[in-house]
Amino acid sequence: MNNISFGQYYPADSLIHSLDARFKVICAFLYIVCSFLCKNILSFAALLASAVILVAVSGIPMRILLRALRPIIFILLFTVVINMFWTTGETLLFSWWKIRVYYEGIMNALFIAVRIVVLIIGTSIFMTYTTTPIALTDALESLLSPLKVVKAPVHEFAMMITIALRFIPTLTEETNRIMAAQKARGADFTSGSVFKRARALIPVLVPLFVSAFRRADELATAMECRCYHGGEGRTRLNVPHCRPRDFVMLFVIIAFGAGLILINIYGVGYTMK
Amino acid sequence: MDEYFIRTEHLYCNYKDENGREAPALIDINLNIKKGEYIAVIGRNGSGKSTLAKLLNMILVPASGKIYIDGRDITSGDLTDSDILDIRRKVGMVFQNPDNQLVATIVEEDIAFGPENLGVPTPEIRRRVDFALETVGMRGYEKHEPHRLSGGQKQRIAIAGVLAMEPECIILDEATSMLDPRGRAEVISTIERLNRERGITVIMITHYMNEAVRADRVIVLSDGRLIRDCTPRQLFSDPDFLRRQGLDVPQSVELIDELRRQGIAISGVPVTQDECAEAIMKCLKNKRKKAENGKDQA
Repeated sequence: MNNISFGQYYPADSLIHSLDARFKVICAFLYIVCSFLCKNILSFAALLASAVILVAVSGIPMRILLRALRPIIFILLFTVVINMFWTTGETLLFSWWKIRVYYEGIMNALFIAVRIVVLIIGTSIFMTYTTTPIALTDALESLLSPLKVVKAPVHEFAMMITIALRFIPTLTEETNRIMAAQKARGADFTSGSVFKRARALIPVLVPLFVSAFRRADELATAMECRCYHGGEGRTRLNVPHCRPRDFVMLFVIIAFGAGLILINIYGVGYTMK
Repeated sequence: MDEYFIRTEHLYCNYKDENGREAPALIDINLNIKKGEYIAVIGRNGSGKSTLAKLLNMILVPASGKIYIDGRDITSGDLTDSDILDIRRKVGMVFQNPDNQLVATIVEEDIAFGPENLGVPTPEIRRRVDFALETVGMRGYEKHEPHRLSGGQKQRIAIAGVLAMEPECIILDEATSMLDPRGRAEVISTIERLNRERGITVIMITHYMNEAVRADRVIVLSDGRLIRDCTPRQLFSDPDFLRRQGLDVPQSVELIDELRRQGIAISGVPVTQDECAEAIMKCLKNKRKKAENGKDQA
């Protein structure tokens, strides 16, 4: 029970790990923009190459990255199929009954697939794999802080995420304990239909919720005792600071985006519509 | 300036029972606690111990009566928000369940939570976190995740979190009741050291008489009333009173009581385990001496 890890953080000592989390969030965002800038075959090739470089620099093993892609396999297949069979173009490759596959369709499907894969790999490398959830939360709080002007509860939101992260292992432990207690009294969670199994979980969820509310109440009192009064006038133990490398990374991404636009304009080869 | 750090006058507090009726939780509590004292508060469940603790750092508001903290009337109603924060800073609190009072996912961040709320500058927070960890003997655990620590370690982190606010008084609300004997010993020795070496006032709410024995003074609450305020020695020399109140009698006191009932004369009022052992040794030695004297005479 003790080895629950939060999110997908992969501890390593790479350049990307050492970047300021706020810059990584911005970089991830810009990288998404970049992936949508791609229009022709050359720019997609550049995008793919950039993803490979990113993987190499981050020092995250391929098998871990592939795990991130597993949940999206279905979406990936779905979009590929849709693009392949529903794109109409000029070069008909083959047709059978009502199905027509065009050259453009194949290329579009390929492009979209590359875009989705690169999108997932890029954002997970910049954010979840190389940044701890707590750093990510702090980064979001810091980046969203301008919204405080319009009274958006940015600090409260970040505090909520922090507390949620803090209580995931505690509540998991508690769930296991309640399940064990119910099993000891003859509850059966493993057999029967899906519906039956879901019903068997009710006696677990009810005590879990009751205890979660009690914990929340106690935590609120404890926080008050430690002088918590919202985000106003709060200082931080760990203040994020940016270094030259953060700006370099940002510049590289922006330059990459600009490059993609140029390739789109002057590039040759198949262009997606 | 007040000579007492905490003073209450005719303090009453009510709570709503399950039927929504007002019921008294505390009745006419008059209490004087000096700076640096080590106080144990005992009483059965529902006797008002936790309510008293929560009144002292303004988590609850009394129905009537006065509370003075460090000479300042905290019931006067003209307190600003920063006054309230200052009271809570001075009177820190450690609760029963270690899991439900740690806020952050990293030890050092959790300890920094109090000073961060108080707006302490960053380098000073760092200094306080290091110092607090050092004091509770948890140096080297800065980057650990609280949920991987033992109960005793978590409670020490909670104490460190309070210490980082530089309090003058720490209230422990049954802070050892969910710990194993080893964790309990860790927490007690930490607290006693803070009291002895740093002069921090300690108010220890407990069910364990062995912990109460070590305090300077014991306060007994029963059904919201303060029924005894004396030294542990005075209290535990009267085991019948404890039994009447439905409280445990420390094993050492129980043993001496039983021996006396069997007609064995034991001098003094031994209360702690060591004292008890010493008293029995002395009694045995006397007996042997008498026996030898008897032999000599024969």
